[in-house]
Amino acid sequence: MSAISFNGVTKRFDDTVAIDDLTLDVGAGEFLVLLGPSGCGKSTALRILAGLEQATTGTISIGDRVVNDIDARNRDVAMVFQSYALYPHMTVAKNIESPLIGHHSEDNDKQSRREMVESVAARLGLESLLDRKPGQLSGGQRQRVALARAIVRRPAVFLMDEPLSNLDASLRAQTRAELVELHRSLGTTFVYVTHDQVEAMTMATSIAVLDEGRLQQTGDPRTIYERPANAFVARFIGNPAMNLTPGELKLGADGQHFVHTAGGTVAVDGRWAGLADGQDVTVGIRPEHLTIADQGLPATVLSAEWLGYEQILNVRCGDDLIAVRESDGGELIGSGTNLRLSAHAADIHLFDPSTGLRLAEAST
Amino acid sequence: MRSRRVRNALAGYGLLAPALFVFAAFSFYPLWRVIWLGLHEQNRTGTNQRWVGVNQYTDVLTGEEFRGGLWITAQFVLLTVPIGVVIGILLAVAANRRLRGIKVFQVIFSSTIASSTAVTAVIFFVLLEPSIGYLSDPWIFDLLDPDRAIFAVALTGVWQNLGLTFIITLAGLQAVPDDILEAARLDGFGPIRSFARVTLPMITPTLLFLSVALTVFGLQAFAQIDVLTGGGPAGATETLVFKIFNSQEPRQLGEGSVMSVGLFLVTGTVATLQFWLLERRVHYAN
Repeated sequence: MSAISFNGVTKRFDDTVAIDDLTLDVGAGEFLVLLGPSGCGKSTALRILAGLEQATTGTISIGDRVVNDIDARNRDVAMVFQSYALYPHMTVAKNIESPLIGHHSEDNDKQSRREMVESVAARLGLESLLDRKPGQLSGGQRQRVALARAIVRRPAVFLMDEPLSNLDASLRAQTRAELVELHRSLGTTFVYVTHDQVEAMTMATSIAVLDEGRLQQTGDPRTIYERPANAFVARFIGNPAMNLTPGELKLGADGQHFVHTAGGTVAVDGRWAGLADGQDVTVGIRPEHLTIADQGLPATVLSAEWLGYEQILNVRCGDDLIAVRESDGGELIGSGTNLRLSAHAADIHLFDPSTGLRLAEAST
Repeated sequence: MRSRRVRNALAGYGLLAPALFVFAAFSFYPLWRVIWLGLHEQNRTGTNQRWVGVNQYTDVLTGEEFRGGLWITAQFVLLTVPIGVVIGILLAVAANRRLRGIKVFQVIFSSTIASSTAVTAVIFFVLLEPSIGYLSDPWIFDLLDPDRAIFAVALTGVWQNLGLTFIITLAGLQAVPDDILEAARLDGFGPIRSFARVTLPMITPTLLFLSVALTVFGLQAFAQIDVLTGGGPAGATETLVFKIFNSQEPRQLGEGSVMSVGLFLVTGTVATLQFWLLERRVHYAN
């Protein structure tokens, strides 16, 4: 049984379509990341799930309940907001206690509420801050308080809207690991919105990529990276983005298949043998899959970004500007250098030039 | 080193001078002049005065006239400020929604800020006129009954302040971030509990400012009383400012000055007290 499902959900704001016919199932205990560029509808999807926005059409279920007509406060969800949305006039303890008061039940008297607040505070290292007001805390501490307020009540689903975007880089990396650990120990379903592919790749058990309100692909991080469903996903995941260039597929009778591009010819493997000979394709190769070789596509280095453990080369190959990730630890490559690039046939992606969709592969 | 400090100090005083001059001419001097007048008695024509000292202060401030006026003023403040603030909050909450055409209501609710007190008083004079007024009611609003005339005057005061109260409260409400209210909703609080737990504490600085401002307005109310009752019936609506206004003859100038100083002290005390009392319960977001 899925913990959450969107079924044909569309959301319109006046003339703009924020979400277009979204159908998505999230399994119980998943860490789903809704990933996409800003304005892709991911936050709107989260807010519809929380009950803060109404879907124009379609149904949303949490567990076996259709929740379209259930008010946000009765949906048994908790949310961490991008701004944290802490109550500025209450102490940290009161902030964390708030959902226990709002969802008052019989076995939650003052004493047991205090114990729950203290145990959550201990878990997140907030014990010494319980009497402070949010205004006296650092960004990272506020983020923890927001997290504590979300988990104190053990809701059915946790929603998080870019909760790390206000933290500095090192704290963000640390918090990512802590969120993964929190998810593992709670075993609850997480739905997490971000535009940051690193957060998605490192934390998610499942990623849903959205663009312009439409779901592009769902899958585990590996699938999304290795078999992007279309050119948008291919370019959105990975940094620098995947190189895409038009080409023509040539199928050889001897099992030697090639794609001819303006920059040269690359060999592809038998996965694409089911396509038509001479068909137009878009070839995709990730920068990390291009290697400097003795023979291959001729290219000229325009600029290089040296990052210590690797260098990113911007090269001209034919008419295309492409990126190459060079991590052999060799010497610096200066601009103007002529070199040749090659890629393994297994690392090459082919997309339909008109629809952008990944072309069908034969099972190997 | 030393000369630089002197230069800095001179520059500082130089920059202060214009403001200091304006305050001195229009605030400090008049205040001192009123205090001075309170220590003297004028002759019939106001051409000469006699030192009477602090006695005039003790006599007037403990006298029937001042205490009566103070009591009527206090009634006016107590009738206008709490009711005004509550109605202002209710209107602001009602108008703080994203609805088509809500701006029209926001303009209507804030319109009293643009009507002069005299015009308001004249409108209410007609509405409260004992024989033809729609609002004239022998049980509550009766301009001819010494016990009830103050209610009618206070009604006008509340209405007059409503626009200001509404605008300031609405601004306070709109400064409460949406996501904090959404967090309260997800924490399980309905609209009323969310208002009491989150919105109200977050707008207390606004309400503090408002209650101090309205109290000062109340203590200084004059025009609506002058138009509606002229202080009557039988002096039942003679507030302090009204009494001060009526002591402009030279012989009463000393007495009026003492009452002015008295009102100044009362206003200062009440405002300080309000700030002190409310500050302890007020949350200031940082």
